[in-house]
Amino acid sequence: MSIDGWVSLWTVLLWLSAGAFGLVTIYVLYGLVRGLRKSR
Amino acid sequence: MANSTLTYLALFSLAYVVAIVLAHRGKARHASGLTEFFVSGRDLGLGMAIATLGATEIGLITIAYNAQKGFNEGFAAFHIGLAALVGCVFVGALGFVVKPIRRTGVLTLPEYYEQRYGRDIRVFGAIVMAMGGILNMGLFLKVASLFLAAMLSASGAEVNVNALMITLIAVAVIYTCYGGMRSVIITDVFQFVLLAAGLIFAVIFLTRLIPIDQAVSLVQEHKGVGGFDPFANESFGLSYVLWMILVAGVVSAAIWPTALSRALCIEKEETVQRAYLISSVIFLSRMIIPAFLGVLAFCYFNIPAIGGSELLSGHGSDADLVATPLMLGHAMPSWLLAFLAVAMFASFMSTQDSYLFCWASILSRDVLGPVFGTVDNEKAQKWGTRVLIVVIALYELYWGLIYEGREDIWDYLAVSGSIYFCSGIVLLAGGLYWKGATRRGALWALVLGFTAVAALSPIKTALGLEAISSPMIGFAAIGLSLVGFVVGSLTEGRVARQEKGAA
Repeated sequence: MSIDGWVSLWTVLLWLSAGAFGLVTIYVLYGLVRGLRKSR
Repeated sequence: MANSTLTYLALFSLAYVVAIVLAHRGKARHASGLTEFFVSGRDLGLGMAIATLGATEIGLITIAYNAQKGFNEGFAAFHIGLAALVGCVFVGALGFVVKPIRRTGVLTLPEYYEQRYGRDIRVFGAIVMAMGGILNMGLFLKVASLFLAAMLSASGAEVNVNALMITLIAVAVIYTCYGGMRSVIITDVFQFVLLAAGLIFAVIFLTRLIPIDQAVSLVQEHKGVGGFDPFANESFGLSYVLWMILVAGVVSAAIWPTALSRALCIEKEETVQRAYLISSVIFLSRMIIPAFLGVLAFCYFNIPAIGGSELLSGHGSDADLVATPLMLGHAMPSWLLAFLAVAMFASFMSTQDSYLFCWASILSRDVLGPVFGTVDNEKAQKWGTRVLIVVIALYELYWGLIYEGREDIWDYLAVSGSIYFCSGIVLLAGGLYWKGATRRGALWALVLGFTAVAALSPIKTALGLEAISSPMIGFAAIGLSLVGFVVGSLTEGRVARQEKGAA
């Protein structure tokens, strides 16, 4: 694979990583809030 | 800048400590019983399971070693994240090891060894497991302290590394001893949210300073094709990539006890696979984002206009390790630096507590318990675990001061961990999926898997094996362990069948 091919692959994975971190964080926070509401 | 950083640091630290104390107090009423202490009452839902699984596997050490890889090898280091994703998707999609082990209802992994192979294998397996694990965490404290001290010193706030090491380990020991697995999981959730937010802010801020296109050009200029292609990079190659799929993916998710013990805490068996499948993207992120910070650090110190190169000079062989924290401390505004420092501190804690608790509980429950007949004695188990947490912490302090291996931090972790997992993967997968597995096979696998120790830098040098790469030694150790397992099991099975036929 050419350097351009590698750069494209790593760029996609980088943004996928950042997006995944963000989404999972929101999901965990949502779970925490829901858990707190239930416990009250 | 030092004063404002310290003010923000004090504020964020206070908020973090208050939040953790409140969370612990809210859960204190649950703290009794062995199941509560060792597997957090086995009541984790999907969200908590994902957070604790992710947080355990993203510590300050993870950030440090991936940043070091990114700094040294450029974008090619991203392949470790891709390998982790592939391995974890495999585990999540098939439920490899994690699903059947949850079904067994054990509290620790060596307990499964006893169910499947007998009590002596439980004790021997637990010793090998704890030895590999404790050796593995030997550098956590030192690296974390260097990282935090470098980050703060770059902003003008000088910190004594040894004093920081003692403080960090003392805090982790106190609350892990106090609340067992429940404390570990509460801290994990807080840490995960803090660290994910901190890293995303840092990436956004730094890519405005060094755009990705500029980073690509600089890496191409200084590292050539090896900065992008892991197969063309002299430090990697095909065997390294395959080794990463095994180590960073399959082993990290399904064999490594700190991660696998999370499967034992999940309430419903059917949730286990989903938790691992969703967590696979975290296994990707935990490698790629810190590696990217390392790439940016490499660029940061190679752009003359920024003027940061003098910061790095004088750090000698630690330069690649401290480059990223120095960049963070030098480039980021005070409030973001302080927030990230607290997030990093939290990430250190969440990994540290998991590891301390995991190895101490295994030694207490699976070595001392069977030897002294205290497996079901709650008081003895809890106090045994607490004392061992302190002992392991003291060892870590000592090891942090004396080890002088020459490998990258990640390679040290992979090799020291392999002392356990080369036989662990054989015993767990073999026991769960092959009916013919026997005690003798398990014993031979444990003994032969131990040959992985030859890949540790000082031992490799002493044995004259420097020409052989660590991944090749690791694969050879797994192969030997597997051969021992199969041959031992088959010969014992044949003898048993002959005795049965004669009777």
